[in-house]
Formats: sequence, structure tokens, C-alpha cells
Amino acid sequence: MPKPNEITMTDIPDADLQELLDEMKEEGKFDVVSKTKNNGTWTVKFKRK
Amino acid sequence: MRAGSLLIALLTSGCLASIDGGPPRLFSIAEESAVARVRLADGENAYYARTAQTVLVRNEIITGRMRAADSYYYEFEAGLIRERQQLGFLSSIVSIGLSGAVPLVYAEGTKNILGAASSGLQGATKAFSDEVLFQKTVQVLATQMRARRDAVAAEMIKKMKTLTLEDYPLSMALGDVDEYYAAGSIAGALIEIQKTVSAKADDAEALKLEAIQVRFSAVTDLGKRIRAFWRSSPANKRRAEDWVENNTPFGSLPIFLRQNATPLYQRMINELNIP
Repeated sequence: MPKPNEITMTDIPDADLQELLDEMKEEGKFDVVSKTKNNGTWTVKFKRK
Repeated sequence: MRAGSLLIALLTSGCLASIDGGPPRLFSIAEESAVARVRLADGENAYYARTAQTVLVRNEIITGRMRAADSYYYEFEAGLIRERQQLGFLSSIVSIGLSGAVPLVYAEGTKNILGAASSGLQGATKAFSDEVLFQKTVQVLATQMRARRDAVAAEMIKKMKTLTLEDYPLSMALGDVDEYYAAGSIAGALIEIQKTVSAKADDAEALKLEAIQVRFSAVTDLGKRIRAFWRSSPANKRRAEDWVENNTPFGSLPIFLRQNATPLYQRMINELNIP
């Protein structure tokens, strides 16, 4: 299975953003590269460590 | 340095049989080649004059040429190995670096070819930097040449046994003979090695550089069960993350949990016995 080097997740509601970031940190495989807010939802780009 | 001079004299005089490395031939390669050249010329003339245009004649011409290529190849290969042994023997005794030892090797042409080959494999800055590298380079090249020759020969033998003159005419077969010859050359070995290395590098790059974009979806009840399992112990955390890496394109468990991928969640729960 291909292993993504970069993951971009779109349409993340405000209320769910922090939980996702906490879990990604807990997993420890990806770093946050950027966070942007468009039309009330977040787009976060992760890069493999 | 006196010991070194003595060894050089012994080697260059051909007195060390173990380093010369092989029994004498009944006929020299030059003698065999002269006979083969006459026979092949006669055979090919008859073939193209259509007085003997049969599969048997075609196959005999091809195998005759392969046999001649074999004779030259084995001498060439023996020369490579012999020079490698002499080089290692000499440099270990007289304690000189590889760059200093290279001029002691007999064949100027081969020395240059090996220099180029080593550079091609390891990069110009590392070429001839140590004896191990040089010896490994020769070994890798010889192994690659043998492997490729075997593969080309197997393909040719299969064609000779199964294809008619219309499907596999002599001209086409002679093209394969050229490929067979090239397989036993330094250049051919380097190309094959480069192809292998490039293919592996491309595979690794494709796996590594994959970038994906996904949309957020709220974590479902199945996702919550998986998350609870993931957090239950370090061992379960590793099992869950490994499963996601190996069975999904997401590469991350928190991302996977936000994909509403019910069939995959169920499969994961079943396979990992998640409560």
C-alpha cells in the first residue's frame, strides 16, 4: 500500500480541529505544515516526519 | 619495497599458477575463432543462397556464433577476476593504495574500463578510493554479466526450438546474438545494473512521495471503538497503526478514523479482534 508523504484534510469544523491535531500528535507520524480557514472550516496540511 | 618488486616480477612472468587461474585450452581462442569464422561464413552464404535455408542451419549458425562469443567472454571474465586477485594480493603485501596499484595491472584497456565502471557505480569522487570497492565492483559486474547472458541465451534457445524461419529469420536471430554479446560487456552490465537501481528507486519514490487530499468526516461509532482500542495499550497502538499503514491508503490512524470508511472499520475490528 502506498504510504502518503503528505496529507491534506479539508472541511474540518472548528469544533473538531483540536481533537484531530491532538490525535495526530499522539500518533507521532506527521507534523502540521499549515492550517488555513476558508468559509468557516479548516484545511490542514500534514507532512510525514 | 623489495618484496613488492619480487612479487611484481613473479606475477608478470606468469609463474604463479594459482593466480593465472585455470587449466590450459586444447585449442587457443584464436585457433577456434579462425575455424568458426570460416564455417559460419560458409553456412551463412549457403543459408542466404537458399540452398540450405532450414531451421537446422539457422540454429547451427546461431549456436556457432554464441559459442564464439562464449569463448571470448570467458577469457574476458577470467582476465577481470585475475586482475582483481593480482591487485588485491599486491596491494595487501606492498601496502600501497589502490590508485598506486592500478598501474601494476597488465591490461591497460581493462584497467581503464574498470576505472570507468567503478566510477559509474559509485560516483566519480569515490572511484578507486579503496581496494574493497574495486573488488566488489568487479564481482558485481561479473555476476551481472553472467546473469544477463543466461537470460538472453535462454530466450534465444526457446525461440530456436519453437519458432519457424518465417517467425524467427536468421537476421532477427543475429540481432539477438548481438544482444548476447552486449550482455557480456561492462557497458551492458552497467546498463542492467542502472535499470535495476532506477526501477527500485522509482518504486521507493512512488511509495514515499504520495500526497493525498481527503475531506473530514465525523468519527463514527465504529471509529470510536477503534480509537479506544488504539489508546488501550502501547502494543495495541502499534497494531492498530500498522494495520492502517498496511491496509489503507491513508497512512495515519486519526485521518483514517475521519473517513467514514465503514467496511474497512469492520474489517479492522474483525482482524484485530477489537471489542
